[in-house]
Amino acid sequence: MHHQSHEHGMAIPLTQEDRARRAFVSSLRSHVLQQMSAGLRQHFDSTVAEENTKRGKRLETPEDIHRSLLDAFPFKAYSSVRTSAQEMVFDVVSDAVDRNRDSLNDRPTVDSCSGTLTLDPHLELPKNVTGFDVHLAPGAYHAEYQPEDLCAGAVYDNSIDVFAFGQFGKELNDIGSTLANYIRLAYSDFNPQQILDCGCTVGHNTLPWATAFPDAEVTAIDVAAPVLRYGHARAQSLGIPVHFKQMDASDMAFDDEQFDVVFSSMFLHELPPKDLAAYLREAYRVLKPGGVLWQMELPPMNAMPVYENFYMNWDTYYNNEPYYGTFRKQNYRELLSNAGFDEDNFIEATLPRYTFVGDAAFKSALTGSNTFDSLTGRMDPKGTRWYGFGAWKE
Amino acid sequence: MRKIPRKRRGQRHQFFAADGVDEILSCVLRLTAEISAVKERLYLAERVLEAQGLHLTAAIEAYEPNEAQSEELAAGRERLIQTVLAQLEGASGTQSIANDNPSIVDAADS
Repeated sequence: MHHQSHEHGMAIPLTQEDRARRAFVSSLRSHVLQQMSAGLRQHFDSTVAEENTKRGKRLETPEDIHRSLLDAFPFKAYSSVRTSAQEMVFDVVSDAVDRNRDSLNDRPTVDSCSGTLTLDPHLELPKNVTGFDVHLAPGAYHAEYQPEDLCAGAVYDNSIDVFAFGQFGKELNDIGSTLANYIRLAYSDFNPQQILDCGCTVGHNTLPWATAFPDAEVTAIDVAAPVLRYGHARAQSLGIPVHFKQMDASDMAFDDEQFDVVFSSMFLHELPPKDLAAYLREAYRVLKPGGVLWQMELPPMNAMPVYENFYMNWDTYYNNEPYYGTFRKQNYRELLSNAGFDEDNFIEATLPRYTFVGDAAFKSALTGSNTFDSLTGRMDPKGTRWYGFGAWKE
Repeated sequence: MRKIPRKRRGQRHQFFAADGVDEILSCVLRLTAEISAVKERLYLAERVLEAQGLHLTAAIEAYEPNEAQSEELAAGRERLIQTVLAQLEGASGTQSIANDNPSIVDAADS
């Protein structure tokens, strides 16, 4: 029987019907995000923007554009279909995970790899994790359905596979690969020994750090036990040693100055502003002098065209990601200087996808200047650019 | 032991002004996914048999399913209905409506 597209020790067997349904939802998402979104843009340019100009009304903010489109059929159709497609992502993977839940728990543990799993049953889960179903995922990513459960991890791994329609690479790790290899190639003298990934879920984007820096020790933290159990078993089965720990990134149990790299991906925009500020202060505290904070995120509003800001903000309103818009409105350099980093040590980059373009093309792209357009931070087969920002600690 | 929930907490967002349009659209998309899966399976079945020198069309027209096969087909139809109506009913089909509306069920049964 076939498995999910990336083979590892925790992959679940899929029937031909499972695979056909998943393929359909991936195609549907791709269609919504390419064709329907292009239709929406065209409608805005040809009709809405023109009408507003005629009436002497200027659409200056993403909120202005959002309001101007609320009654437009292409916006309603795009939004309604995108919502359904998002719901279907979880729908088409949950049956297969439910069917395989016992076998997931019974998989033999891999001892030949030196990764570890440390859970903290007393950890209080933050409200942004438990209070609502983020990404419209039923049960979110922390719910447990049986003792020692890892179903939520399997749902996450499988749903990302469907969600990404190939845009995160075959191993679903392109974001981590791109960001890790940027540090490796852009700062070739830097030789990190201790690397930390915060808000790691199942570790898709953690593992590339261990591959890019084989001599380093890689630690990954998340608040949710089931994704950590799954992530640990998955990493062990792939023979990639990572220390998974259940810990809140806003209140870490690590000593001061323990890590050379503190990394996160698609993490900050899910945090309430207070937790975000606390996390960045913690990141500064646990970094060694000479270490780097480096995070993949959505590009900041102040760098992006106004229509792109409206388009990206959709998730804030309709995908249960309430902090997304507030996060992007901030000045990222200022966020980091408020946490203790020197403003002059701020770094940022817009990067081609490492696993798509290969080592040589990636390396030669590093000398170019940053580009903020409709391919930056979006999932697009035409050539997504991931945005990274961070700072060196003196 | 609980099953993974199939519905998220909170209200669905309504984009179209008329009640039910977003839900109907969701039904149609789910239905399309099922049709797509069936079409792909049939396509594969035809290719597999063709590779073995069998021609399917005439054989299907002549075939009478037995009782067990008919039950299997009926269970498949029920699953399809539950999937297509998921937005209207909740994941467990008519059962959840009964649980949510005991008075209606009582009245109907009396």
